[in-house]
Amino acid sequence: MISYNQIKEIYSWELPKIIFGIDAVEKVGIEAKQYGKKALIVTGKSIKKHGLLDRVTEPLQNENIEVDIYTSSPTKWEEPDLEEYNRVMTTSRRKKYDLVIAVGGGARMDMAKIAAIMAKNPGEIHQYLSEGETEYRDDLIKNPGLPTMMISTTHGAGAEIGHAIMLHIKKRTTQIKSPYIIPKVAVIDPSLTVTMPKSVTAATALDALATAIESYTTIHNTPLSDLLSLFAIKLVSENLRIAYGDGRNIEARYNLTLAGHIAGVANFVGAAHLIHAFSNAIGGMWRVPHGFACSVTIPYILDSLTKTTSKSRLNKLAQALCINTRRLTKDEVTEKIVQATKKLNEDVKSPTSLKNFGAKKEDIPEMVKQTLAWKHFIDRSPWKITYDEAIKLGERMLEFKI
Amino acid sequence: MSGYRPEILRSYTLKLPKIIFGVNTVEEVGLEAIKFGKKCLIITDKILEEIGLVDKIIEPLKKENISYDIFDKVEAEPGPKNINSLGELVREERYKFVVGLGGGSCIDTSKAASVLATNNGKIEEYISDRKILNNGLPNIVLPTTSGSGAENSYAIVLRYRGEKVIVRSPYCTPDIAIVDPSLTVTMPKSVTAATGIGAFCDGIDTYFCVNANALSDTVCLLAINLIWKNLRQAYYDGSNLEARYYMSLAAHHVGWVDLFGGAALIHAFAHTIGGMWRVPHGFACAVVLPYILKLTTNAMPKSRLFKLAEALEIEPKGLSTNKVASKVITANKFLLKDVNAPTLRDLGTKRTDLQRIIEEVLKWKKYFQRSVVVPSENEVVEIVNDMWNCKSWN
Repeated sequence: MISYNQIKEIYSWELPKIIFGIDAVEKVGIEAKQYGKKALIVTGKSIKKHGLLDRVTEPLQNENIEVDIYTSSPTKWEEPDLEEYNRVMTTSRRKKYDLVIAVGGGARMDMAKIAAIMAKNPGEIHQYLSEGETEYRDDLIKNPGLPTMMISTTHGAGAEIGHAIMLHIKKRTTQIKSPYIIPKVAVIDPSLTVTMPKSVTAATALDALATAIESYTTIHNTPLSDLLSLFAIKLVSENLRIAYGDGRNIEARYNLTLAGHIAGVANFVGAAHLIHAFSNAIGGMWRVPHGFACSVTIPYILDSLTKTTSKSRLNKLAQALCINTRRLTKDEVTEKIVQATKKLNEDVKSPTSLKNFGAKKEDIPEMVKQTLAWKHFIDRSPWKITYDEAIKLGERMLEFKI
Repeated sequence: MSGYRPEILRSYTLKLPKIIFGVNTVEEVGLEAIKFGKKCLIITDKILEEIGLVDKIIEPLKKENISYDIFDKVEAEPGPKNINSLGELVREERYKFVVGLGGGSCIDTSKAASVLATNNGKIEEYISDRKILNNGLPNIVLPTTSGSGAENSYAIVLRYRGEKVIVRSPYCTPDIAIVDPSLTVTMPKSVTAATGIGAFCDGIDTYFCVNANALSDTVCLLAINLIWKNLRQAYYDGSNLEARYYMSLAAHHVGWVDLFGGAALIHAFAHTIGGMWRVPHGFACAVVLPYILKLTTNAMPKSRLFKLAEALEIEPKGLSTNKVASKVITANKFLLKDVNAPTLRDLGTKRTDLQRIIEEVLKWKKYFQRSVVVPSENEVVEIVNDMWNCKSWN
């Protein structure tokens, strides 16, 4: 239960229309029809390769919707750079589209969001960045963009419903935020995830885990966000190894896709804090997949974060991670939680140290500086981390010392 | 909570309004409204105007220089005549948006006004003959009870020719729902009880429904637990904001999982009884709740039953399934008793009415099919007899 003070907490929650389930993708035609006759599809090469794109275009053709397809050129880590964003912006401005459809993971969705927003707002992308050096704004975008539909093909958390676009500019992660970015429709179909490679399965599911852990530990939690996040944590810890071992296991895929989506929903309280502050810095500096930038920090951050969590809340978190908490002290539970998250990283061959990204000791101060620059993230954490503590934590992440 | 087997890997569609939840969020109505225009109609009832709740939304509207008219003639369980005259008013006056303030009836009436403004004809034509084709006027709704879930839903419940009927369309979903627990503190005791029990039964019905999915289970159990812990407090001390907060939270969330198609057995009975005796929906649910539980608890998987028991603060460990089921039923009867919910006889039912109840209930075939346990005709007769034989909840 939350304290009386916390009932003063207000949350605002705006979700797209959500269509979740196996073969949900068959409904994209009927949904798209409401918005017009001409759509721009933003997708990636691997989506085409696995035949997933046909599953989207067919229902669109059945409703006589004309489509142009923008295929993003794969970058080394599949996270788009500014040039890529500019290209997709030019494409969407060139013709009159009624709708932008993303088919892919978070990166493709962010590109589609850029295409939709920039079609209706003048100027350059960098004019709209929410993250200034000191202030944080989400009112820079003045006009609603084109309607967007997000078709998710990974287990990643929240991009299909979220109001943010992540960008990597000059070795920094930054973002654009606006209520106008919220998609109109999110189609989440577990059957689209079965062809995902192992590493993407691991990275996106671990992103879901990180998001859910943050939603549970943020100071803005509500009874609902608690439940949704524990639910997502449990689904990831029970199903990730199965889906990693056998990508075709539809049951595990269903549960992981649900976990990713629900972790995103639980995030409505504005939950991203320490893990995402670190992972944004890591992702910016070494351009690693977002999920791995998150997962590498989880055991280290949990180790310290648990000190600010009550025993009963900690036990619930542990149980969601499939740990039997009977007769354990708080320290023992913490130890088990750290080990469980570390083991999960290892089992799905996710990086366990910053060294895996090529980080060196002299990079740590810059990483910490970027981390602490995410001030509104840090503020939401129950652990008020200092610069020295952050440096120490960074060094442990490098040395793989938990 | 975990390990869903393939045969129950269910699909769902969910469309919610933008939701703003929290104490004093009513103050944000102006900022949200200004996006839609400068002229609106507030749809509410006389009592809410008298106790000053309408003023609470007028202030923030004025601040944004939004002009408004007030329609305060919403009926409890609105009928077509009232709604159609409102529809004409909205069309003539060219309002930019409507604001529904009140319980389920006010909110449903504002949904009807919103769609009738842009769709010709009378509301009753849309029950089954016609389809709503156009987006309605923007609609902001503010519930003042905690139980209807009407702020989330795409349905309008009407009283038409002595029966409860429902108009459904995706265009009926409100655009913005501002759920402010502080608007509920003035709710009278009986309304607190009826709407609270209504939300509780929605949670139970959805939990026992074939459309239940992993997400709806989680939310239902949370809502059941919150109502179990807070309804009595809210009932005995209406000004207890903490209890009101949790009741609003529970009712609001159970209202949206209900959209997965949750109304099942309890609702088949409640709509019948509500239609025959014009009792509040929650009380119509209450009279049948323990008997539906008796039927379903014995047939459901042990693990699901145990989770329900835990939500009601019953420790199932070491108990037999039968024992847990009977504890669950007793707990429910206690709750009904504590908030003075009526029994079937309290509604003024006569023995001669029982046959009609049975006939009417059996007509709600769709609701029967949604239940994990579909009762035979004999079992329906048994439930109705049980309701009749219950003189009090002791």
